[in-house]
Amino acid sequence: MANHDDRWVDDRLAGLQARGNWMPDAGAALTRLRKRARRRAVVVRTWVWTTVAAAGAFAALLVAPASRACAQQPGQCLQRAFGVTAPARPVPVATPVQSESAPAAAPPKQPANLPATPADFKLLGSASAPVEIDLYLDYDCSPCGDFVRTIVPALMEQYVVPGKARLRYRDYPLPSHPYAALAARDADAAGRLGYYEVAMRQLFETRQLWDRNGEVDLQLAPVLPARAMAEVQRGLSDPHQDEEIAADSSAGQADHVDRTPFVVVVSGGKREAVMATPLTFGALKECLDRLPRCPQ
Amino acid sequence: MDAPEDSVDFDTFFRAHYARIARAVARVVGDDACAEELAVEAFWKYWRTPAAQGEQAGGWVYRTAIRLGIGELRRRARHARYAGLLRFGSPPNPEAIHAASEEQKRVRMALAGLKPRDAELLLLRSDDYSYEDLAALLDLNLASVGTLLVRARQAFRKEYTKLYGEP
Repeated sequence: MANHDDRWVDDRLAGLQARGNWMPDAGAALTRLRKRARRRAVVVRTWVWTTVAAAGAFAALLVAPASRACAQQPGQCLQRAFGVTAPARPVPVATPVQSESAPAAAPPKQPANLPATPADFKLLGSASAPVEIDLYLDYDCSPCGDFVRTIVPALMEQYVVPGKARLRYRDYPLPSHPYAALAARDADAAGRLGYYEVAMRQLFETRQLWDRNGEVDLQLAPVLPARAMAEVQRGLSDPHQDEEIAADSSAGQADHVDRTPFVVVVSGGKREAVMATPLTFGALKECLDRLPRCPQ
Repeated sequence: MDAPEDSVDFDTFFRAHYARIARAVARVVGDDACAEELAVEAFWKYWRTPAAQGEQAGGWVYRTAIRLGIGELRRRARHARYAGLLRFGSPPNPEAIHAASEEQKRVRMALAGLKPRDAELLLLRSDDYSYEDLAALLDLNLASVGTLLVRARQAFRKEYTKLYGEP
């Protein structure tokens, strides 16, 4: 029975035949195969290049110093990357002026397209103004940010711009704020490139982001041009970078600064702290308007 | 082998085996054009499978082509089942009608209903492959090839009977 089955099945299968006169065309088939191989090569090449480009872009994002900041503010980041100027970039309220007594030191070397380095970027107003308002700030201090945002514009409008006084920012990072000195370094480095006010305002606005991890430069990246940002980061390794902070802190100790913001009015060679609490524009105005004696 | 177009060896190999393989596939699917496509597909797979490129290369491509043919057969059978038609391939032309007898259609339908390995065994064996070749090509134990062939034949007969009644 099994043999009968075998024969029957084999007979059926043997009946399967290709057409007797049909001769497959190997040449045409080989041509088709080659075309297919070429198409596949193109696809593979396209895929490989796309992958390489994507990997390159990803790697560039990883190594770029502003990658996290770009993730948070991609619009500004893209504008910088493609050289488009952001129309809404904040403009400093007043232009720092050259101090009359400043020594004619050679300006530090700057890359092209960065603004000229101001000789004293922390001083706003006329060098010949009779009064100087020294404002001690700690970047990791919320009232300091409020002061800069609300009171400084009024001071600028009523005293600095008319030439009645000049305003000097001073760094006074409190020891209880571990990243305040770092923020001051970054702001000063940006200031040496002509971006002090922009950097200062950005640091106050993003304080709650960097005061947890100290990643100050990541917060500056969105508001500084890429080349300036690179200069700021290079400047962080400058051994003299803390000299200005140290000088401001020494002045603050001489002025008995015990909190921030802290204002000292300098008039007629006398330095007088404004001790009003809270430190409002009204209190400052009262002091400035009654000089040479500032009522406490 | 980097690419077919760069390899004289591949051309030689292709020309040496293509016609035989295409005709073998045509036996399975009963459609010349489709058989050529499937044969090219088998060579394509061969080119992309470095492990296949050895002494058994011819057998490997042959088995792959048969397997593709069986796959095509099963696909058509499914389609025919769903469509309620027992018709293979494109609408019949005079040549196809002449070439494919009713009996061939029945055999192909029965093959399509088998397990792919059983169908491969039967088709390769009917093409005069030895037990040793079958064992090597299908990765089987030589001692079990006979048993598997018997079972494949039984399965074929059972499937044929199920579809068309006792012969």
